[in-house]
Amino acid sequence: MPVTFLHTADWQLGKPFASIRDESKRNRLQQERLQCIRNLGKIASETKASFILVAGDLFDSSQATKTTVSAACSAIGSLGIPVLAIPGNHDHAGPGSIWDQDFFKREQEQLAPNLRVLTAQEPVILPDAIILPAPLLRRHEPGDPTSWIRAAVSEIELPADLPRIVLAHGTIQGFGSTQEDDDGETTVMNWIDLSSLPEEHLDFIALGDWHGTKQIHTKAWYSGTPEIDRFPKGEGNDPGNVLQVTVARSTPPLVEKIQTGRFTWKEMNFRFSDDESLDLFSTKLDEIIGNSGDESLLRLTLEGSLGINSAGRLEKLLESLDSRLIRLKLDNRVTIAPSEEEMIALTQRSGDPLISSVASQLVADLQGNAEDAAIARLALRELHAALA
Amino acid sequence: MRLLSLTIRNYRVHKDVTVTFDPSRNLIGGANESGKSTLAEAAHRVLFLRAKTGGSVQKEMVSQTHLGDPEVVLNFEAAETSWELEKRFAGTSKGSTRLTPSGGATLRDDEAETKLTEILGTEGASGRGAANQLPALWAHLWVWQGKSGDDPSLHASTHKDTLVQRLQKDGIAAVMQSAADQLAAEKITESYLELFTNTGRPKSGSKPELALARLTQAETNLKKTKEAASRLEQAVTDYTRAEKGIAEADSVLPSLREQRTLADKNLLEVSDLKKEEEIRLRALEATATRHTQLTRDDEKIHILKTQVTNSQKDLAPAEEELEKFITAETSTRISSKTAEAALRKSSDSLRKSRLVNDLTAAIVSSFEKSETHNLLLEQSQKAKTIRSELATIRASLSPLPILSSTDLTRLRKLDRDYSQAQATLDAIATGIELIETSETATLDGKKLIPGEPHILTDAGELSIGSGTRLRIRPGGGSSLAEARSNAEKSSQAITSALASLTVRDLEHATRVLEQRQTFEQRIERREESLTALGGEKLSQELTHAAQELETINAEVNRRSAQLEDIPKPSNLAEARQQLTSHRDTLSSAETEEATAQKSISQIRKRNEAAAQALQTHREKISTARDSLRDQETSIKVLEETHGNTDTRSQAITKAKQAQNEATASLAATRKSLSELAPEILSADLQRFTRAIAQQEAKHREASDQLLIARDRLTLDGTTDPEADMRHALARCEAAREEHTSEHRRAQAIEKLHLLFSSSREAIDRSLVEPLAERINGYLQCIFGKGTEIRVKLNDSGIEGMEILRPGASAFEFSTLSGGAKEQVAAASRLALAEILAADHDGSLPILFDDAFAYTDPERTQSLQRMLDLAATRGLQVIVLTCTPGEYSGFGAMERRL
Repeated sequence: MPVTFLHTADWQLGKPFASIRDESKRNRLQQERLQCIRNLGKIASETKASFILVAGDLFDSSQATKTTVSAACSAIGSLGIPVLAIPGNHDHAGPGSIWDQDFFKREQEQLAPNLRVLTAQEPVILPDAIILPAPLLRRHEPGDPTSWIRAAVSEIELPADLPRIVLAHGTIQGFGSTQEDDDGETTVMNWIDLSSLPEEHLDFIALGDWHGTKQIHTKAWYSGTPEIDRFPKGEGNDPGNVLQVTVARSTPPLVEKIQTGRFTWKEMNFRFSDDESLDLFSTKLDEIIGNSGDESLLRLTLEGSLGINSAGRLEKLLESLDSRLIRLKLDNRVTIAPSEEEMIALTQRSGDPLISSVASQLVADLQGNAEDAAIARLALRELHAALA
Repeated sequence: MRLLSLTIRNYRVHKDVTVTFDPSRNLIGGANESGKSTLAEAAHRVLFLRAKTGGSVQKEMVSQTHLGDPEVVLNFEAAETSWELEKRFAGTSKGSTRLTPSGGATLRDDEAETKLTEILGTEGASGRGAANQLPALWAHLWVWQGKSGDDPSLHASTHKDTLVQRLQKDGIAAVMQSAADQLAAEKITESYLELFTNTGRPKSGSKPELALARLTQAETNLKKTKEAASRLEQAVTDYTRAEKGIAEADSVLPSLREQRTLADKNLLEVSDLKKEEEIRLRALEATATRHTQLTRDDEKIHILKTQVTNSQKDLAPAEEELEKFITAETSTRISSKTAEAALRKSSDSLRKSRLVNDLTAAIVSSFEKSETHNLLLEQSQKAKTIRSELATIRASLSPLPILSSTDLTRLRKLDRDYSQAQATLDAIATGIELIETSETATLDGKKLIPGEPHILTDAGELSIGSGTRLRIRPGGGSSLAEARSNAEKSSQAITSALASLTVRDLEHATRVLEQRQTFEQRIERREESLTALGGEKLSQELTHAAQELETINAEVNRRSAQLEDIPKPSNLAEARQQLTSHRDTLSSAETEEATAQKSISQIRKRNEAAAQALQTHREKISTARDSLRDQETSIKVLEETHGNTDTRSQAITKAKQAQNEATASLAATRKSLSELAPEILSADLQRFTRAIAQQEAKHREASDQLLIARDRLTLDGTTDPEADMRHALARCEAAREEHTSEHRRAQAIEKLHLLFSSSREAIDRSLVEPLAERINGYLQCIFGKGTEIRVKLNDSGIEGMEILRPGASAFEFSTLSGGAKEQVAAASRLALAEILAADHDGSLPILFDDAFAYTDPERTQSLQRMLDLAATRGLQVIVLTCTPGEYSGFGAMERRL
């Protein structure tokens, strides 16, 4: 009998989003992650899923706070079907982990009795499937956490008619959370050697860690995170989904991607060629964000150079953008230097020898080393402002 | 502008003087008080003082000696024209001005003054403030006497604007800063002062400083959160290590315990074997002891038997010898008894002799005492008789008055004295006898009866009739009274002496004395007899003798009772005779007793020796017998225990055998024991015990650590240390960005501030540089090549000057000597005048009124060079001096006042 379940991962509940300075915006992002989990209940009932598999990183931290734990358990409890989760690298089951804390156990028991955290390397036999979990018992798992499965399927007698589902968290060749994420945290690699898994004895491999939805091969998928939590990296990165999987013993799985994410995490690069390009930039920004600023996050890289007046305009523009967006991650490399006219207005003042002299010397400094030039640019802006 | 000629009239000392000026070099000489300075003043006032000025300024100008208002006429060239200026200083109403250009119409009063102001470019002085205004006007060109050493930078500062304009006009200096410059500079300074202190240090409370403080705070916070996270990491590490430690201990403990159990078992066996070894050892010792005992006892029996034989052999002769000792002892004992009897007899005899002797001696004594007693009795009787006689005599003596021969002698003398005194009195007395009278005659008031004689022994008053009184003095006066007094005294003396001696008269006294002497002689004789009889002691002696007699009689009676049969002597002689005889008897008895004593002492010694010898021998025999008996008993006892010789021999053989068997079994046990290697075994046990203890401790420690780590890993769930750390990191990053940005801005502002300061200074310097260059030209005329002036600037203008000379450090104008001050100031004035001259047709008059008073004559030469240079450069130099001779090298047009 085929069984349908939802494959998800990397909820990372309690993620601090520390680089967002505005607290209310931080809270919105955090709350939305919880809401996204609650939304899974609807999807589960629509898809008639028997259970939900969470392939690691349910929590963002192994030391999540009570508030996070209670909110998570409450959301999970609302799903109505069994939720099976393994610890990932973020919420590994090492000593003192969240799974070990009394307050978690209490909340799980009271709010989320349907949650089952698989921390042992042993088959879990459900009425309609066999789960082979590969929990991470520490952040840095030196070996392949799935290595026990190969031996187990040949040695342990398992019900023959139930589909066998591997639940694992880590990196396979080329995929995994190897990049530095938005909060400057470098996640470690827990290598899973898919080729060494006895594929013929398995029916589905539910992977977690890579935040985009990704099919590795017929039976192996990364579900990705259901709500995006970082600016996407690389081509074809497709986060913000859950997978609806229907699988039966010795039958290829049927996998369907369901979009769940709410916030849009966008990226934009722009180079200012002259002061006129500022208008072009404004237009492009409108195209990307439009009126959806309150559900958008933008990573903006600006290059090129602008005159002093234009730079002032750009500053105001960015100020508005920063307040409108949930987050503006700005990499501003724009060189602000007086435009030709501004330069003339500053240096060629026949009636004001002092200003001309000072401005000329600063202009001369623009040709000096980077540090001197940077200070000279700033000084020219200040002088410009003083003359306004 | 150049001065051409000056005429003054009625002006102070001057009546009417005209001076014509050379266009370049003028020297006006004149002694002090000759009016040189007045000339200079007049030239100045005609240019700068309005003619209608009154007050003290005007009054001072009026001449004391010459009539008329002061008038000054100045011809000069200016604005490319020649002018004649005439002023009459006649007070506010009468004062007048005329200004006539060459070939032009004359301007008068206000018109003329206005024109003059235009030409000179300077407003003149007028009204009440004129006195104060005047000295400042063209002060750089009019060097008044006494002002030549003033700091010239003041003039430079005063004329800065004009200077700058002049220089700018010539394109020599950069332009002056504008209002916009000023405003921009002020704004930048304002921004700078918000960020920095006056000393250029970052200002506390400024934005970059606050940002820095926030950054520091954020970094501290980050460090704390990192530490918190790292503590958790450490706890995880500890936990893992503890788990590993427990697992390790658990893996090795069972094997260690097993090994210890085996070692324990073997050791138990060793312990058993050791006990067995002990038992076997003791058994061996017992068998050996038994064998030794038996052998020894057997030997003992043999020895005892030999000893018995020998003892028996030795005892026989001793027993034979015993009889001899007994006989010897008996014999000496008998001798001793005999001697004792003899001694007793002689002792008895001696005692009796002593008793008899003593009795006899007592009797002798008794007789002697009795005699003494009787004698004393007799004497006592005699004494009694004498005492009774004494009593009789004393009874006769006592009624007699007590009178001595001395008393009698005194009485006789008194009696004689009385007789003599009476005789003397009788011889002196006067006899009065009234024979007949018709008148009444009285003697001492007593009526004299005729014929009745009266003896007068003292002075007496005789009155006859009523008018006759006679004093009669017998014996002529006082001697009569003396004689009567003597007679009375001696009479009293004898009477009282007799009374006190209770005698009637002298005769009676003589008789009494004779009687007393008779009785007293008798008493003396009787008392002498009494003394010869022993006096008072006699009765004591009698009592003593009676007692002694009684004592001796009692002794005689006592002794007599013991010796009844002894004949008693009847008197002393007999008794003494007996005593002599008894003493002889006693002496021989004593000798006899002593001899017996000596003899018995010797016999007794012999007997004691014999008895001792006998005793010794008997003991010897007894000891030998006891020994023999003991030996025999021992043999008997031993034989009763061990049996006879055969039995004993068998027993010894058997004991030997048992000993051998015990030795063998002990060796076997020891062999088994050594095979178990107990030393190693016990070391092993210790080793395993130690290892187990260590592992258990490790286990315990790891368990403790596990608990501690677990405790630390138990979260209260209020914070997420990892999230905290990320927040702290983000805040730190933000603070750093902010700080960098603020710091950058501060750097930019600082840069701007510096640039404004340096640019402004450069501009100012470019203004003063041409002035300095010109001054240098003049200075070098005097101080030589290389001398330079440096004009110091500040925000408001020229602050001062410094002079630099080759090989010396810079010095301030104020530190120069008086002469140098004059010269440097002159150079500076000339330079200033030279620049300003451009506005006045390229020339300006410059007037030195005794301006080099402190300058050495040698310096005057170089001074002339400087003045000449000024003239060459177009200035009109006018030198007023009281020593014109010193300026001969100037080559000026000279005029003397």
